[in-house]
Formats: sequence, structure tokens, C-alpha cells
Amino acid sequence: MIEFNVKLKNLSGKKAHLWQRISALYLLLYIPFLAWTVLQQPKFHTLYALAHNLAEPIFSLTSLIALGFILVHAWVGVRDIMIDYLPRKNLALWLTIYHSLLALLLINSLWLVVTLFGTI
Amino acid sequence: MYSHPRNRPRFLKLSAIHFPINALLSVGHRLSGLALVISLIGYLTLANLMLIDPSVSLISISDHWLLLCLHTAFWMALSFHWLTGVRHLLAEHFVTPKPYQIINSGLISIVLITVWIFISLFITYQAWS
Repeated sequence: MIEFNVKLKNLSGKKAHLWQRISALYLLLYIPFLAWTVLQQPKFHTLYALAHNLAEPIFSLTSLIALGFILVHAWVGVRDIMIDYLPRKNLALWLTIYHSLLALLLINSLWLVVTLFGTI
Repeated sequence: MYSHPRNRPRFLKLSAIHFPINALLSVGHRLSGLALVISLIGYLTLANLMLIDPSVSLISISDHWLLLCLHTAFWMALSFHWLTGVRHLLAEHFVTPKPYQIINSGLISIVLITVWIFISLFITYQAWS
């Protein structure tokens, strides 16, 4: 079962740093590729038409991996900001709320992918 | 995790502190990261809205000022985060004094900001033209 309650004693700076760097290196290459792909797109009438045009294996696969790395990068980055600036008293609660928000974004993103690309 | 003793000294008058340009870029990297998380929520909300309500289509909102502002803010924050992130990665990789000093020099910071301004102008033109 996934543990949603963030415990401060379980947070590791070394592991977080490593994941931050791995995700940063992947996104360093992916973002120019995304920008180039977006620039090539004409105006579409619907989201389905846009999804249909983007449904190439290279773009789909690299984007799915990027989604995972974006969420990892966002977790470590904002987690560090919260640790640095929020009062320690309710820090675990705020981290749990942010952790849950990212989990919700992941579920919603996967639902959108299945809904949009499932029809192709 | 490190825990500071309760009686730590505090100095919260931020306007009295003059940050070097590298520190400002580092703060900017964090702020642009936060802006990207908020933009991601904005894009997901829009995508959900388009799937739930058939009357809202991509073409019907493509010229709406709110979407154009979202595009502009997202790509400007992303380009800034990317550029400052590259510098962070390079500074961590090249740890010997000479290349490290070059990467963290004021000149490189000014070059980075200049490149970002040009990218931002391009983004604004692409989004609003």
C-alpha cells in the first residue's frame, strides 16, 4: 500500500538530490524536443485532433517518461522550498498535502492520456 | 533532518539584504519552478474542462487572453528554469576552480539573462501574433 503521510525522519537529502539530477538530465534533453514539436503544430479544433497528431511512438514514449520525471522533479524541488521556508510545526502536514496533490495530478494525467489516446 | 535550536537569531528585513546576481538567479530558479507547477495545474484543468464540456473546444479558446497568458507564463518560466538549471548542472559537474569560476561569473549570468530576454520576446510574439 502507498504511504501518503510524509514523515520528516524518512526524508533523505542524498536520494532526493540524486533523483533531482537524473530527472534534470532527462528534462534537459526533452524540453527542447517538446518546444520544437509544439512549434510545428498547426491550430487544431479539438483536443482529440491534437492528440491524434502527436500520437507518434517517439513523442508518446518520451512524453510519458517525461511526465514521471516532471512529477519527481516537482516533488523534490517544492519539497526543498517547503523545508527551507515553512515553519517546522506543520511541515509534515503541508508535505503530505503537496504529495497528495502530485499523486492526484499523476492520476488525472494518466486518465487524460487513456481518454485521449485510447480513441486512436 | 536537521533541526535548529528554538532560540535561533532572526533577520527578516529582506529589503536590507543585497543579493548577488547568482543568488537572484537561484531564487528565480525556485520561483519559476513553482510557476511551472501552477501552470501544469492550469493546463490539466483546461484539458479536463474540454473533455467534460463538449461546448469548450481547443479552437474556441485558442485566442482567449487567459490561455495566451498561460502559454506565455509557462514557456517563459520553463525557458528560465531550463537555462538556470543548465548552469546548476554545469556548476556541479565542473568542480575544479577555473571552470567553476567561469560558470558562476557575473558575465555568464548576464549572458544567461540576455538569452532569456530574447527567448521571452520570441515566446510572446509566437503566443500573441
